[in-house]
Amino acid sequence: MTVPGPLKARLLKGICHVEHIQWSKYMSSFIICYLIVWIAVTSYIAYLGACQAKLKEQLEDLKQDLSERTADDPARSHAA
Amino acid sequence: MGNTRSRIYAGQCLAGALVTAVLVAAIVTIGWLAPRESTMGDVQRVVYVHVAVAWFSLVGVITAALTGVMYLLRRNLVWDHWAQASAEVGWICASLTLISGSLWARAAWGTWWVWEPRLTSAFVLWAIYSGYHILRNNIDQPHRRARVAAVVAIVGALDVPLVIMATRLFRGIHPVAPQMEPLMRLVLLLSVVGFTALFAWVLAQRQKQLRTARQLEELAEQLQIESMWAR
Repeated sequence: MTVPGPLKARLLKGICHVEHIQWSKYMSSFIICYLIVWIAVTSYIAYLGACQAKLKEQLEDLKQDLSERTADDPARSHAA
Repeated sequence: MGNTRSRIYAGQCLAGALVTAVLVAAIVTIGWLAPRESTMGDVQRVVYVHVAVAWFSLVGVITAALTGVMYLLRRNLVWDHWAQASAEVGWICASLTLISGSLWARAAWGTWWVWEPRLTSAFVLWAIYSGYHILRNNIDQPHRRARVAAVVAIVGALDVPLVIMATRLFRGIHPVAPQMEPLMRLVLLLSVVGFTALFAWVLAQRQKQLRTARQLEELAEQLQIESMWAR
């Protein structure tokens, strides 16, 4: 079945819903640029998350170290 | 105490929601609301992102320099944490400025890169940022590192007026201040505000993290000294 020209255009318009977007060959440049920006931002936030996890680990180690010392030292454990 | 904490938490949630809302609005308007530019076509949409990241790359280096000055005056490492955080976010923005600019240039000028004044001065800024981070990573003593980093950041900030004025002072091919439709201006403003809010939030989080890391380091050192005395 062949679709007549104007009907095809109307169908396409209906699928896209938005008249402003016309998929030119440079639309891909914009999409690539946008993707790179968001990948960079999310990667940096993920790096911050990893640093945060490392800090948490360090804090746990310190806490453990402190509790071991308190247990070893009777004067401290009594005070605690 | 608990009441203050919950208020701070509520404030942070509200700020986060606001930043997200502005960013979503910026994304939607850049992709759908902004009209298609008649000569350049859709590639012009890159400008909305390019200007926003370029703006924050300049903010980053200025903040690093100002906080560097504050460190040199007060010798308090908290200022150095601000400087490091802003230089990190600024470096990311400077890199994204060069990448997004190249993508636009390929479509508009037919080449990825031209050694013209604005591009060259922006590249110099990126190189200064990179040098700043290489230097930081190679100095162990915190106060010495902060001192050297502050000097580099102050020298780097001298490039900012050159980046801004490059299109006006020298003859180049980079657009100076292109005429825009009111709707385009609005979208650009929304994008700049949205990205600025996002990067400012990331910067604040990083600063907080660096401060906590320093406090933990100090605590570990203190415990080590205490255990040595106990022996």
